Amino acid sequence: MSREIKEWGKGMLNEIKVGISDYKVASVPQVLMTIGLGSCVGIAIYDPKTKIGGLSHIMLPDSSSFKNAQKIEKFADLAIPQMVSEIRKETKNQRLIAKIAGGASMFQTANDSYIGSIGERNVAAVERSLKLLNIPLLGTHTGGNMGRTMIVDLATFSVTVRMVNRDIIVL
Amino acid sequence: MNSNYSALELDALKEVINIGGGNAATSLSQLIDKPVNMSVPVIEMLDYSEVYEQIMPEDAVVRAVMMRMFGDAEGIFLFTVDQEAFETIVAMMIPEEMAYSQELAESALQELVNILVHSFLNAIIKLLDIQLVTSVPLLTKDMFGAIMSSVYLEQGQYDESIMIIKNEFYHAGDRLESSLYFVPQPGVIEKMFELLGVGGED
Repeated sequence: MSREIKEWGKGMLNEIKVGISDYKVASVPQVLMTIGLGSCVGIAIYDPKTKIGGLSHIMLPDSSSFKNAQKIEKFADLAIPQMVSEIRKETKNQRLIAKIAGGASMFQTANDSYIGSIGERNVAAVERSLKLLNIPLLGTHTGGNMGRTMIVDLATFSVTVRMVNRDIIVL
Repeated sequence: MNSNYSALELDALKEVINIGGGNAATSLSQLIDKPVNMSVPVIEMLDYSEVYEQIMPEDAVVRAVMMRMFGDAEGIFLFTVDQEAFETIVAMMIPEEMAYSQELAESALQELVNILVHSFLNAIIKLLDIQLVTSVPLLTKDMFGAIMSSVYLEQGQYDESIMIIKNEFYHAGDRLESSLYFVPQPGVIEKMFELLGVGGED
């Protein structure tokens, strides 16, 4: 209840929240949002003509090493193609564009290459998947050691990336 | 991670975390020279959405201190604290006559976690007769959701539901909004059951 009131207070009536390991497809005037991207990556995909778009929050790069990858929305290599085919069905195959954020290593260590490798691998897998689908990547804000919240305005496809240190980047 | 532990195994795990956490609470209490108590350890399988509903919202800003554990078992200790508890704890640690700075306060928090984790581990090492060492503490201030998901993923815990293992600390009846999480790599808990002689009866 308190959360609903908070959102009313912000005036974000059309906000659709995308949880971890999930994606949502929507259209103008809605706003898609995902909170707390660490090593995960948020992928926004959009058709400028119909103003239909989607936002995906993936956790892992690749489903191939999992015997039963039941949760499609969790993996970059499964979630992105499925969300794209859903968008293409609605937009009748218009040219799509993409913007991404996330893929951080939350704890910076100078001499430990193991930490953060998931974030980097997630970003690489997302870029590969978008390339395979022939979707140009128009904006990225990835890496580093900070968490991100990603807000996608489907009216303009402006993607706002918010960080805890109050920095705001608009892609 | 396997969520189908038997009642006996879960009791054993709870007892180990209780012993470790109890030792940590005692050290904390000696450090700040005030009584510190601890709740019964929380051990639960939760989906991320449940974690953010029941424990803390994903956009809550926390300071988190992380220490990696190596040796006979690998994993991460993660201590999270909100702004209010951070100020309370640091005020208890830093002498009044000392000039306060953010840097000093954060360094004190890191040292506190260093002591907590080492007292936790000393108890476990004695109990299980194993060898464990840690990395230096690393601190960040960020969204709870970004920190939790990243730490579990980095430990090879790839499921949508995660096993929360944590201790909460109390001072003078008030909960210090702080928790010490233990995030083991896959297989570590099963290995511990073997050492305790409670494993494998399912």
